[in-house]
Amino acid sequence: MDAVGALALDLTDFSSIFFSCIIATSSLTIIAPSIGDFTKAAAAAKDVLQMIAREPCIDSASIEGIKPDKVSGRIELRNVNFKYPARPTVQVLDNISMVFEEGKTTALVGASGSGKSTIIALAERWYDPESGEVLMDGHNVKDLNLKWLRTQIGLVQQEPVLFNDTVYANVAYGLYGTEMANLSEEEKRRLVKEACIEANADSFIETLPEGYDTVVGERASLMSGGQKQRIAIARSIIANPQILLLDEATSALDPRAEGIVQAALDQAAKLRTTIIVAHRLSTVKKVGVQESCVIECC
Amino acid sequence: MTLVFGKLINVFNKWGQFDADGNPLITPAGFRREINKYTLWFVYLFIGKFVLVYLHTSCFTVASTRMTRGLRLAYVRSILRQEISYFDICTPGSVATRISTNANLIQTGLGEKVGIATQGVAMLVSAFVVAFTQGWKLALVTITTLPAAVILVGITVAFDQKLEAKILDVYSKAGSLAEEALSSVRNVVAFGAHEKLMAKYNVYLDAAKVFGIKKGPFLGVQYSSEFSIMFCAYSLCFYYGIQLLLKGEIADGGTIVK
Repeated sequence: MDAVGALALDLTDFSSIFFSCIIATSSLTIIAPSIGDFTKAAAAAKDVLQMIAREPCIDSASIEGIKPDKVSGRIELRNVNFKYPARPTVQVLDNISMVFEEGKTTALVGASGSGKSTIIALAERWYDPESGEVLMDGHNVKDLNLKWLRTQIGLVQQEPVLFNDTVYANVAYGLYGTEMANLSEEEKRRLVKEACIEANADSFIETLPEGYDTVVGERASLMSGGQKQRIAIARSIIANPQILLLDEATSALDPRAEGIVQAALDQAAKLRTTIIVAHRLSTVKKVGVQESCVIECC
Repeated sequence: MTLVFGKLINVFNKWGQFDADGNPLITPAGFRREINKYTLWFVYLFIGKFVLVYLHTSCFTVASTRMTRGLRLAYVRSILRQEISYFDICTPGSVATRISTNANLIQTGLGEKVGIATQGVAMLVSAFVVAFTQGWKLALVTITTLPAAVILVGITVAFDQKLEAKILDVYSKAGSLAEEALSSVRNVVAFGAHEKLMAKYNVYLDAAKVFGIKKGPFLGVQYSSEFSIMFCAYSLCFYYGIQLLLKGEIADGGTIVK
């Protein structure tokens, strides 16, 4: 049985090795089809991991930065130069300085593309200015905690975005990020109701089939423009922010709805630092912004 | 798995040995007993294999689903904390398509395929271990085909991966176009822009097709080389095995009768 010399081999060994070879090579055919999937997964994973590792230059999830206890809401732009990163050839703001006094309403009027909305974007710190400073109560907004800063500001845009949820839930989203988000359901409902009364929305919401529990539909398609806007206003003021930014808030509405929404905005703007952006001077004049200064921008 | 297959082969060999041994002729009853014993072994082995395969498949599926869920969450978290200017450059649509297609691909890659491939590698290794312990010379000659396979597969996979990444990129752009078109479907209908948008979408698909076609030769080389190397290994094994057998016969004629 035993092999004589290194070369010796019997049939047992040979068949054993031969079967091993078959198994080894057939295992290659098992592995092969998976390789393509691994390749794809590796490429996809690289993409995903790159995104996950990307550090934003303005990190909205950051826990750093100061959170002052008291906010009076004075906003100041000091020698601000700004270009949009996506359009580096256009100088949107060229050495702009302006002050938005606390508790007062200021209107920004100008042609499209003159940089009115850019000022709102800078106040929200969606972008950082190229040079110069944006200050809130004397603090550079870069030193403030970003989440905190944004909870101090209520924003109403031209096209309000509501989620496909109930009216109550949509307004209550405005509490997110504040201490009030942890209140009981009952108290939140009270706050929502108050905010909606202030926003001139309570009366129409009560006439809806299910009141505050009516679902607004996909892209709020079940609401009219004026209704949407008033719900959006209620959402912006429910957390009682000291600053209110209105970016063409009534531009997309018909005259009647505009009047109602404007009344709601006037009420909301009381005692708050309010910046109104409008492309028509008439909108602002009609409102009667008695104590405000109108800045012609750019 | 390794040992199971080693034993499996040994079962075959021992059975062959009875036929070839010549001197102690086995009685029919004893032969049947042996056959039955090994057949039962097979049954047990494959019950074990069934259970194990079931286990590893479900484990890998669960693990991959969990990992992908974690990735999705981390991805969305990361997207949401990006600065606004990031979204000026890349459209939200492509971000959304990216995560859904990528997560699916990753899940496929992390799922039961890993189990199957691991099984394949284990079989490969165990088979060679068995081969080497049985007769290192023949095994050594046969194993020379392996590096060739690994190198060829490695090279083609590297190229394939690059092309795949490009295809993913194109698909994400196509996805964002589709998303944009569908989200403003009223405008599309009002302006009768179906044809135009379809043509635009087609451009992306064509671009992806070009990369896809480029993948062809690499996949061709990959599969064909794998199989040709496999058959080369067979023939090498036969050729050298016979040679060794012949030499072995010369050295010790009594060992091998047939």
